[in-house]
Amino acid sequence: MERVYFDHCRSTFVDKRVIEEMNIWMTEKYWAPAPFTSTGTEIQEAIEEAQAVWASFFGGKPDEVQFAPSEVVASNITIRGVVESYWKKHDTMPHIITTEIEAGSTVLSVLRKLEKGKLAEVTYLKVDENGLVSPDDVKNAIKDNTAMVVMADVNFMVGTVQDVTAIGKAIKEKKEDVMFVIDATRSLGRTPRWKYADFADVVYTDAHRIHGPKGSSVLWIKGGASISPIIWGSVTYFKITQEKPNVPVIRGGMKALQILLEDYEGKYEKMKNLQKMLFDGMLERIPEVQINGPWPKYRSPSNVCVTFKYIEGEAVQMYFDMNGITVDTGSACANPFLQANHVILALYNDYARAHGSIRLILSWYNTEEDVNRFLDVAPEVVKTLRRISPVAPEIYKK
Amino acid sequence: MAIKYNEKVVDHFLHPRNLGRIENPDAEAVVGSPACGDQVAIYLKIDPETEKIEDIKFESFGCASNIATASIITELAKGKTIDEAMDITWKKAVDELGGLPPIKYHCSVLAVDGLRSAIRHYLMKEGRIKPEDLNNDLVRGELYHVIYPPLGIDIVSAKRVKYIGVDDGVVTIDIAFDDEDPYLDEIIHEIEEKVSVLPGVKEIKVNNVGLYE
Repeated sequence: MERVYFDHCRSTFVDKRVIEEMNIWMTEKYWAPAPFTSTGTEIQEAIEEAQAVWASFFGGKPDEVQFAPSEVVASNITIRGVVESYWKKHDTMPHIITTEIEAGSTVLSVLRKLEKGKLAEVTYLKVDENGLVSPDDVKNAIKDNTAMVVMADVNFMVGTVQDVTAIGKAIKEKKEDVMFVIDATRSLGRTPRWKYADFADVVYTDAHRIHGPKGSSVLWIKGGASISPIIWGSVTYFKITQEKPNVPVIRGGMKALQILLEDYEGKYEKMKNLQKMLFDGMLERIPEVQINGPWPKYRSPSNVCVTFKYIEGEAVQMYFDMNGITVDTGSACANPFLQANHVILALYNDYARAHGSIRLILSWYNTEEDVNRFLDVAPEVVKTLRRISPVAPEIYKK
Repeated sequence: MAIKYNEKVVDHFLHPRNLGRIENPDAEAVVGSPACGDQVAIYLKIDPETEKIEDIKFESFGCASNIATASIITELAKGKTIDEAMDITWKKAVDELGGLPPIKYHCSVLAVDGLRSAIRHYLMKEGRIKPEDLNNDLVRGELYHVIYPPLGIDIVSAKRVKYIGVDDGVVTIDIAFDDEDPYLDEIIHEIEEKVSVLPGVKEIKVNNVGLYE
């Protein structure tokens, strides 16, 4: 039985064309970048081409594109880099605006440490029942010492697509020098096709969610942005990330982006159709399904997040796993620190809903057969666990 | 190391024994809550002469460990006297399952609590436990069932319980954890949940005195 994989927020397989591309730079052209020599300059040009491809995607200039070894490193470099720069310039504590639904492993963990260390003060904006941040709330939160607004364009858990254009505009209207930083690590290929440079100052993302290699993080930092390096290494190539170029990974990430851009709309529409099949199919076949997050408006096409009432998420996840289907859950039981998913709590303030939540993140490589396999298995899984559950009504006990 | 369930756990998860409810049970208990992430209900039929558990059934809102432990506990308890059943610990249940990943020990505790709580309800109904019997030993007995997840051992054995006081139904417990310990809220919550089922408890005060006192 072939595995059906619905956890593309956490990993994707690497496209064969990406591997072929990377092989060239690992086996034939494994050289280091350098000036003047034929080997060195060929590598320099290979890196520059990758920068140009990403720059045209972000809407910036090629030399504004830098590479980092992971999204954790990228978010640290960005957020702490802005804080460091602010302290140097103003010798006072910067204020940062974010939302309460950011990813715990990147934005929130960095911000909490900065707060604890008295290096920054942070405002965590509330979101509405769709997970949307209001541009007015962002605007009203800006103070004299606000250095940046940092948030994801697509929420990792419930797929809310933020109105980043309006938020960017609101920020600049209120205070021109407040930086708008977008954590796009989980949204590549999963937003409407927009140009980040139209509203943002810094964007970081990672090609490993679009069938590129792990560790292919990319930052676009607008020229003149106030950001200091926090990692000291080589300034030869990338002034802020100060990494030595990992050429095969950089080329692999570039190739993955090129493949994505070949038919961006087609991939987007394909996921949207599968998503609709999943939501419609579940609502039709299973009673008392709660859709977590916005639907059908404001939602990224790759995100499906639901709670089957009266049952717990890890048990659901295990049942799907045993049926050859990989999904993720927001249950505390599956969390290493036994905490329920903070996004579902922020939207609904309902612990049972968070513990019961199941998340599917689609790729354009998922198929209708994948969706049908899920829909065939789901009603039986839910029925079985409701029969066991002490909180399920009598009708589910038969 | 990869965290996995063994075959016996999976078997009990997929095919739980003694599942369901008992009409007019001699004792029952519901512990935990869906809001906390897991809940177990235990139903007992007890022979008043022999005090043997004639029948036992359970229901669970919980993860695979929770369901599997509840299932094995019903097997362990069936046919035992209530005194013998009171001695079934979470450790015994976990051993009987062939082991659980330490991070999941705390999920296994709830089912054991459910069984003990149901038996306690029976004893209270029979007038054999009274609210005024509440003492330090009973409280400590409950704290043996609060697991510190990173160590996979209970907080008493881990020497994290520094003081227990009982005064007219008010239970005071001092624990020692780092203020930033990511499990601290969960531990306090579990202490309150477990101690609150004891007869005669009016109020529970849990203080974290910090790790470096």
